[in-house]
Amino acid sequence: MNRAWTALRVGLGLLFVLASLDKIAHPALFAQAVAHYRLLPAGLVNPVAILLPWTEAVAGLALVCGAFARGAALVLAGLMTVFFAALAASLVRGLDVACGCFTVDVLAVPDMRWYLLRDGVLLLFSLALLWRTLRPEGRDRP
Amino acid sequence: MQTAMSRVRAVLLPALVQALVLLGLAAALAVTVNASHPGGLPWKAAPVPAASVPDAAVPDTVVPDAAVPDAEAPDSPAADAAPDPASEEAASAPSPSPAAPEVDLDQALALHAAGVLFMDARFAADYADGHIPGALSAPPDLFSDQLEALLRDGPKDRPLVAYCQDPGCPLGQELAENLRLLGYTGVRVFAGGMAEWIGAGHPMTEGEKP
Repeated sequence: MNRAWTALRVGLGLLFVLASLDKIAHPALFAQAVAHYRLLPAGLVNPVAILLPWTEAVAGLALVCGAFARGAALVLAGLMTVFFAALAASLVRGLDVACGCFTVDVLAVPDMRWYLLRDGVLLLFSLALLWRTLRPEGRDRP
Repeated sequence: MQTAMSRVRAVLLPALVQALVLLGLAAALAVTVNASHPGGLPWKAAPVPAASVPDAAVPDTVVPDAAVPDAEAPDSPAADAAPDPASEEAASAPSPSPAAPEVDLDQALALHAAGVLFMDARFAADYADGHIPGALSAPPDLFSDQLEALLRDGPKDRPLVAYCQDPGCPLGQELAENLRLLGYTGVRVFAGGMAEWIGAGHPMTEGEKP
């Protein structure tokens, strides 16, 4: 069972690191993807586009290494909650936005329901991991 | 109850502290890399919708959508040589269509950094040779429904920037006019175009993808 949790921790961490790479490499395109969600005031789009990928990368790397795992699990569960809410809001508002999740390609064929399902699963995983790392019994673990 | 509370605090507090440390580290990295990266973003974006050009420059009387396909259908691959039928029609209309507002290099850079979509009005081969990063290819031989399909995810009032090779090339203004006829109200033209962009040393993307 412990092994499964370790696999989940490392796997989720790797996923976030991978997701951050394209965004870090192409900040202007990622800003465009963020702007397409039409959720943020114009003044916040660039700061979010600058900070978000690195938050993913650092927290993901921490999970992979098992250092500061509780903090990283908290950050990533928070991020997944925000991502899921943003996608759900777009679906409800009928916006067919490019996800901007793993690639900044604005022409990536968008199917919001698939994104929502995928993010929902990831959200559950990250919440499970958060619950696991925050358990008092688990406190002696990193 | 007391013990439950203190236990929550004992568990949650370290996690919060860890999270703050990670966020701080991420922010420091983001600031450093963004400052040194050539494609770094300005922290404070230019106010995109209310940029230097007043929206009033684009008339509210937009050709109804239903009329557009007819007006655009004759648009042929030879459109760059022949006068654009769409603009001819607009010119003969009671209210002459003003040219789309133009932006200079600095404004274009600010709009680009703010994530505004750029549209390359040149032919596909020129686009593949090198275009502004993120720009979509909208060559003059596109039919209006293909042009619409390019912008499928955007609202009609979204800011857009059309550009061509240099100020001597009319395709940027023609693309802007075609977009205006399709109902897009926020189109601007970067008159300096690809030549001015490269001349100022800004990066370009090669190939058929944005």
